[in-house]
Amino acid sequence: MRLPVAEDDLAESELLKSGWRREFVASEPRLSEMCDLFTSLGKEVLLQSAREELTTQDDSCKTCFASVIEEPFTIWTREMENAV
Amino acid sequence: MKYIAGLDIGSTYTKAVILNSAGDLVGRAMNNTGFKLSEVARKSFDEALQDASISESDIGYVISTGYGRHQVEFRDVTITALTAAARGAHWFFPNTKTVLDIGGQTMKATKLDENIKVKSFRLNDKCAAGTGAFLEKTARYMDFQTEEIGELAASSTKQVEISGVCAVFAESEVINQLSIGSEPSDIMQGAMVSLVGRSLQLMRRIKMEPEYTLVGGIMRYPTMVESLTKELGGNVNVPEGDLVQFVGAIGAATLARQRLSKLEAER
Repeated sequence: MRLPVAEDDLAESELLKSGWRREFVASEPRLSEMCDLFTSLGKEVLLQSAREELTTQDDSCKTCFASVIEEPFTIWTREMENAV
Repeated sequence: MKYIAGLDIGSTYTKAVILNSAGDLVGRAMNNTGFKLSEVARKSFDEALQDASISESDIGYVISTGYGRHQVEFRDVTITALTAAARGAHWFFPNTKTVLDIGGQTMKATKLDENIKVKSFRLNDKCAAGTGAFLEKTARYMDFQTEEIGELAASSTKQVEISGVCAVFAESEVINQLSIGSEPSDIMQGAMVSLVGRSLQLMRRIKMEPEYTLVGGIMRYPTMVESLTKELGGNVNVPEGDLVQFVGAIGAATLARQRLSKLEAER
């Protein structure tokens, strides 16, 4: 499955304004599975790298996320009819 | 119709089940997943066949699920863990509307529609905080094994408040509690209560509806089930004993039965 990764670093406010809803952060192998499920529920899916978000959290989480090998992504979804 | 098999390759345990043509559970096996996913899948499948006193040639269809589902070489198709848990929960309790599944690395809340399909779902965000890994680490830091968690929590006499659910930082939380004289049993119970809080948050986000079915390895601990039942105000189903860990594999097998039946009708 080719995952729909956002090419631009879109601001959260822009995404929300365009009807996107933030779901959660996931990495492979669960990421593809979750994207498949959202698609099967009739939703459009967009992924944004969450690496920066995770590594700028408080120190306790930052240290842990720095060791994560698989790229973490924030999953955004919106109903198909909202798609432009 | 032949027998059918369902395999759930979870992050901690691999489960295999065999159903007969009537959809009854006739064989099962469970092993630690480890790192050789295709090997443990084969081993669990073979043991389940043995438990059912049948051979591989008696199997008509195999569906795998779980994070290692693509590593099952002898599968016919794969399905997602959420679909499998939904089907499995329905097999045990047909009136299930919401499923809470807490495993070794994930916490999943799923709402089902009238056709047993996933209507909405949420997963633990970002990391394995608030999953089985947190309880295992908490127990380990106090020199207890995973198998002792249930009994330890059940012997608690006083609740201790555990603020976080981070598996990595469970150690400092445990040290703090032990240093102020808290008993290991009370710390373990406190850890479970903090998981309950996290579970409810997740379930609220999918607008949970009764009946609730609790599945996954964590639900084999009575303290966890009791706390969740209390918070949810009843309407809670839990498969008996270790069957709570086989729900995903059974869900995969029920779908396998449906697929095989369709294939046979088309022949």
